Amino acid sequence: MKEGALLKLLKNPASKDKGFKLLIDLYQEKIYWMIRKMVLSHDSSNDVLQETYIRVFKGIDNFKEKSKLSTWIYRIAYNESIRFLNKESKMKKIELDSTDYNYSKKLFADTFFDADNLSLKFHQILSELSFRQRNIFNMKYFDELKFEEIAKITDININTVKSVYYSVEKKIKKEINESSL
Amino acid sequence: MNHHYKKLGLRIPNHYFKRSKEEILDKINLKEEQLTKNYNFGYYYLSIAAVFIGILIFYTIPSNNENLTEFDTNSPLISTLISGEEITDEYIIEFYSESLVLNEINFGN
Repeated sequence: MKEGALLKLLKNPASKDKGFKLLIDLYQEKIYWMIRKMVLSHDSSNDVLQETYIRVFKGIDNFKEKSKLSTWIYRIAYNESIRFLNKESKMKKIELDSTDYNYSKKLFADTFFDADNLSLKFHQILSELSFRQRNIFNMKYFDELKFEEIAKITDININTVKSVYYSVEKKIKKEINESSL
Repeated sequence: MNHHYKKLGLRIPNHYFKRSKEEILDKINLKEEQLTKNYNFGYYYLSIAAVFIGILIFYTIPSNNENLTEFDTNSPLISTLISGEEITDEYIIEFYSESLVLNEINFGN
């Protein structure tokens, strides 16, 4: 279903519920995985996902269509994840340019994480990245979002997004290759 | 399962997305019910306020109207307006001298 047709369903009170169910079917998995890579634990990701969809449901009537519907939902999910992480860290605000010292701790505490050599190597590299670098890399490499979309979701300049991604990609390739030698 | 599992080792419970969808819809229905209840509650208070304001208006407006309609029809301006006669100096002098006399009589009573 195209976004335009879905929006029509969502904006009409008579078909809003039907449209919302379709909206969940369409984006639930993608949104979940983006959240999961940010907050790491499955249970927390589930809470953030639910909160995201509640916000989407409440806000859909005011959606101005300045961006794609999917970008708008990703942006809500991204902001919800940051809100969750701020609450979790009990700090005033997450520093986007700093690394998450609890990355490995959170990962290993999750029962839905299976560690093997490849995943451990990946996570070791990701844990060394700043919050901003990690999110940009994950959104492009795993979630397969376009640079333009990532810039809109994270509110970071598109050129910065590109340069961050390429430098991180280079670093990861190098480290993976070195470790497999 | 996609590359999130293959490369990152991140798993999800069986049938997670199906259950998650149901939970989201349940939460939304619950919130909507709460919103409707709050709206009904608000509507109830608004109705009481409207009745109260209505009563206030009912008891205050008539008395105001009485005040507004209480005017001296014998006054030269009003009487000429009613009768359509022209206001003359003689008419005004006659009116005030008559009022003076009537006041004297009332005072005497």
